[in-house]
Amino acid sequence: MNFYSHLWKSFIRNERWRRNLLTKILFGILILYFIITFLVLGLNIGKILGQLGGDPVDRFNSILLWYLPADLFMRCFLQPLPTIEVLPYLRLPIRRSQIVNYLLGRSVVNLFNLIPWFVIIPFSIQILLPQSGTGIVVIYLAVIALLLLFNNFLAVLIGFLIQKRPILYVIPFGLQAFMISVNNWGFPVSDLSVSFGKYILAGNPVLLVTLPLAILLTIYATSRLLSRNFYIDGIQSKKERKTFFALIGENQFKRFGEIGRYLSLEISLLLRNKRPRQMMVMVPVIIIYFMFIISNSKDPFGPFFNLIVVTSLIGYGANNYGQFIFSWESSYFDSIMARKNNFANYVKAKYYLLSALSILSFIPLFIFFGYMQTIDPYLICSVLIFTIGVNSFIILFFSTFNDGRMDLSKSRFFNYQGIKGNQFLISLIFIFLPVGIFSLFKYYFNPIAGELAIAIPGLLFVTFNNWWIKKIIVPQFKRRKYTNLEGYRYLSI
Amino acid sequence: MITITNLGKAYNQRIVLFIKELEIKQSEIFGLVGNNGAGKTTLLRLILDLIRADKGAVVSGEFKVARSENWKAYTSSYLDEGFLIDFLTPEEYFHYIGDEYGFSKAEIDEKLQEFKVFFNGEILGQRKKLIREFSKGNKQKIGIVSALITDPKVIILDEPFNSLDPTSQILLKRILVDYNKKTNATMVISSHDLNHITDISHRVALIEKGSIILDLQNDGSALAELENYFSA
Repeated sequence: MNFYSHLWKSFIRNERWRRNLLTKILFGILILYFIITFLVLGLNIGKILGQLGGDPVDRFNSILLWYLPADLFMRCFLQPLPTIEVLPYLRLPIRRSQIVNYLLGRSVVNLFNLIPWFVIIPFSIQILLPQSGTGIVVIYLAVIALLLLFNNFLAVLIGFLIQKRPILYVIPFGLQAFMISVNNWGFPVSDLSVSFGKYILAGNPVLLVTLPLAILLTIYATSRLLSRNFYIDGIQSKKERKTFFALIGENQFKRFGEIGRYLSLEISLLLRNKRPRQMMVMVPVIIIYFMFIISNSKDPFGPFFNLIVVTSLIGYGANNYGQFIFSWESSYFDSIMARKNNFANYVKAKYYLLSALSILSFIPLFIFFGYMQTIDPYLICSVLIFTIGVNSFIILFFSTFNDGRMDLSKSRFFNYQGIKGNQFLISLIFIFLPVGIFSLFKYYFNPIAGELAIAIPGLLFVTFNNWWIKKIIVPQFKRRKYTNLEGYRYLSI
Repeated sequence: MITITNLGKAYNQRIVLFIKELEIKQSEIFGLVGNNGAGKTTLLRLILDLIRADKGAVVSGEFKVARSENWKAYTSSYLDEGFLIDFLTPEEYFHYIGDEYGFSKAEIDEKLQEFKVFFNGEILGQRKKLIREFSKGNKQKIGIVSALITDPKVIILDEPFNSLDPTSQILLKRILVDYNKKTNATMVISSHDLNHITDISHRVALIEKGSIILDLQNDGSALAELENYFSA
């Protein structure tokens, strides 16, 4: 069908893909790595289950009910939503159901539907087949396939719902929280999972009927949702604007002078556009989710884990906003460069906002961990200082390499703009640089030395932000100016 | 005011623009015509230092545009919708731009009064309508006016008559000519409309395959000469 050939062309002819060989290679290696890991796991599944003791089949099944919600959770964030630039097709004699079917069909092709089989198939052949016979194995595999498909389409539905209302991010988080709660309330999920596995293996055909029905229901709901969005004007909702409109006037930040002007522009950008707003909504959702997990866990997590959580949560908002700090404005960056302005102050406004995001995330975490007492409050403060100082510098520096165009006014509904490989890398630096420095000094000296070792450089970078913005970030951006401007005009991220 | 020497730009070894010498004089309205892909927008972007010149340089006043940024203080431009910050209301946008050039809100509001007729009551005073919700023509108006309210000495406009209704096109011609008379500003304007461009320009250049092949003083015969070229 035409759609598929268009999809293939848009993939092959994507400018970024053409230009960036490195991303291509990194991406390939990552996929290969996952496939090999799971394949090795699968081929050794008999040995691993044997070592764990107990009935190997029950052992394997006890993971099922943990895996499926986790799979759904990951899909909600990582599975790309099938999208199409719908406008060119609307005027052609193509039925809407055709487009919807194409979108849904395409969603099936992804790694989440492939990778589990590297484990499940060896398990079925090595362990299940000798025990249960072919008939049962076929039913077992069919049920698993249906469950994965159900997850697939459910994730698509949830994904589209989230595009409409970012607050629905609570669905995947809520599901995880629910699983943990069930486990803590005296219904061990592993036991439930074993019973569920036994039920499948009993060869009862009920699941083979109900699961397809559930899948059809999800598909039906998705196509209903999609076909209501087949109007170019159907995507914007009028309500959202009013709520945010009153919030930011033109002069809110006037007293901060020139920086204030850029700040108020930046805040309007974040609040009035769908794409950055979706990102902003995620910040409190993630923080609350982790607070829930930590306060509900029976065994206290180690101090190292706590430190990683605190570091990533303090930096989460800044990281997500900062990675695209120039790209957010890509649609009108030409005009920024063509006009008179003070670029250093322009960057500084962005820096202030980065810091504000970190501080806003820090406050609830400080109170929460102060109450939990699982991590030294001074350490949390040191992490904050490091994030505002050193991490902000790193992120501003690396964001100048991001030359992708970001379409703010469109929601991601029919316009998926994915994530680049180096974004992931920067996230890692963001977390493991402070954690690493702290751990090193703690190991060789003591925790106080560790805290100082991250607080002092942080403080230096905060104090001299004026200097490094003017002497490093601004010249660096100027060097990249033409490349970035060209990217902002043509390349989507 | 704007001097171009040996300016060259190539994409993938294909030369898209080469101009050996071009001098746009102070207070001149310089019209630029040419078919699609001839290199008009490329030239305007090079003048604004938005793409890197592979060869040669553009000098605005005494500043090389790629070296200094001082020319930005007296230059304004509107090339395409990408110049608009579309999540602002028109007034917020005008005030924002004015602020960057050091004009107070009141000053900008006063300047906007001059464009009341041009705006036709559809743009100002709509406190809840963001630029992205305006029609193409009205966006075009917002962009052009944003280039005129900062007292620029150099104005760069790419196809300003596009998507405007006939009344607005005629109004815009008068606005541009009046502004030029009043302030002696230098203007570089590209257009596909030969009538409009010869109506307002002092000088018209024809660009074809990246080079200027005709450079006419607009003394009455330019329109006929251009029409003759394009119909051949």
